[in-house]
Amino acid sequence: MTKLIYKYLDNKASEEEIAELFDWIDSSNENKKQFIALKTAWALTESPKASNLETVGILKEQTLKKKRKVFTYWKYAAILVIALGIGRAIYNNTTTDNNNDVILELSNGVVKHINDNKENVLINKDGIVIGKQTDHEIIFNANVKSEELKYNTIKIPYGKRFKVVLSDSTVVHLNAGTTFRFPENFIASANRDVFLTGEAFFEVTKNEQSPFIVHSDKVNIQVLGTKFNVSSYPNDTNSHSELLEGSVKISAVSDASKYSILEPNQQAVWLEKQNTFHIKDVNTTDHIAWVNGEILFKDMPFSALCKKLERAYNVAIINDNKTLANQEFSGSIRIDESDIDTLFKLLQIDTPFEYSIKNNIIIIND
Amino acid sequence: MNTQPNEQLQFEAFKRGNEVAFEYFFHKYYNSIVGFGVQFIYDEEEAKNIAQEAFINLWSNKNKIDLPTGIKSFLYTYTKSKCLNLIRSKKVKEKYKNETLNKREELLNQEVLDSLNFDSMDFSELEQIIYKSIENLPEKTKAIFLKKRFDNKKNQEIADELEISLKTVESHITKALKALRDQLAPYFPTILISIILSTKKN
Repeated sequence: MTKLIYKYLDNKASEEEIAELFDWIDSSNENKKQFIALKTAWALTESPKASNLETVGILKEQTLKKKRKVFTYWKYAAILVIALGIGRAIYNNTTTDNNNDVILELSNGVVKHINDNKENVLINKDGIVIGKQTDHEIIFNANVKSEELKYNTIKIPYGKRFKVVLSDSTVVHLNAGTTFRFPENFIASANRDVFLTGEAFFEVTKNEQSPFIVHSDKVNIQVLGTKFNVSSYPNDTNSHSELLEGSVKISAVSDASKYSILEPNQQAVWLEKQNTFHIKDVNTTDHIAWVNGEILFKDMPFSALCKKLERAYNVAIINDNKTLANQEFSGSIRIDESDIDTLFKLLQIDTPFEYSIKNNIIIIND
Repeated sequence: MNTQPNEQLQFEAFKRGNEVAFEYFFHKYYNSIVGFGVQFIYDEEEAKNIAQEAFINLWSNKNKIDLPTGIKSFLYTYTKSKCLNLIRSKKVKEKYKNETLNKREELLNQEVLDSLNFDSMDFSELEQIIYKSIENLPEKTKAIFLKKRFDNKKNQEIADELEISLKTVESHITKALKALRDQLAPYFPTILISIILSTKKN
């Protein structure tokens, strides 16, 4: 029988012989086990000679050629070219890439990895204590006076959240995968400008002389003193903001004449393609559930939910299931209390699909 | 096997986004990944497409991979899942005139793929059994099997090279497979296979 299996694996068996082999395989579990063992050994030792000389360059060329025939590969080719092309730039720019620490870049160029729960004192280059920091928050001193704006940058990796109390006592909660740039201290009666990529919930201290302005990629948000949420992730379709108290003016970066004044319990979504804001009433507490480590979602398409899960759990989700991608889900998740596998098992009960988890990569089959 | 200092250094460089290290792993695994795919979808072009996608995804997910062995696991896991998708969505081209034979082969290939687990630990154990089985073959059988599988030589080429008959080549390879079958079969749990069988029959 081994001889027949070999003929089959070597593609030399006739259809009659193959039928005979399949009958043998199906006749007992032991036979099947032996066949699986051999097929596995065969598949894992196969190495086509023709492609010996292929290089990454040829890979790129090949994928580029493919675009005429199968356009989906064009998409991958583009990603690859960009990924390889700017690989070094990525390495230089995102220091968070390599590990899972919150990273603070101080104005004097010092880069700190925040990875222990000791309380650390922050000192500026003049030797003045400007704040203190633990593994989950940084509090800047309110009484440091300076005539010079010194910007710090903090980067929150996937799977973490963080809190910053600015020198004007404004509290900023930062969600996973967020970069936030802010000054060590604000200058009296000048604008309070901060810069955000990602998601943050702001509790802004009122100061009528100094408007507080959050600059993001797509929208700017100007306030006097309020509580509001801003979400502006580069890999999300839309930027949006929700107001809890007070009032904010939200304007488009691309066109300052496009703006909207939000009232409490309203949400503004910047629709980039239509070049306009969409305003609607929302339950704002749902949108800041993340501050307390919770993900709330209502009629959310699976693809959007995946992005939230990727950030919250520090995983990559590759979904090849088109039906599932458009499926909408509602529910709430306490991030610390449920692991991603359990969560997927729950989603499976609702909509059957198959997936595998390896090395924090979740692949969903179609 | 995977703890060579060079491998570790390449892996660390790969993690930092170093293209040269990426190419190192590309060269190391690309052919094997294509070869693996071909065994299940019988189309080298398509197998190459899948392997390329696997590497592209590997690159974009490099920060999620913790160990050097994770690279191989990722590539094989990705390829396995893509092959299963193609088989399930009936996109694998039919080899035989006989319709039933094509169906039976598809089911069988699904079972083989389903039974494979590419977790780093299990995968290296499986590979070690395969390599050890090959290592323990009689000298001549081993040499012929290596030429056949790893140098991808045709039976006739091997026969000419070693000045032996085609029949002798074939009998050596059969002998090698018999040894592999005996050592490898116990590695696959019967329980798992019977579960697959019973769900299939329903």
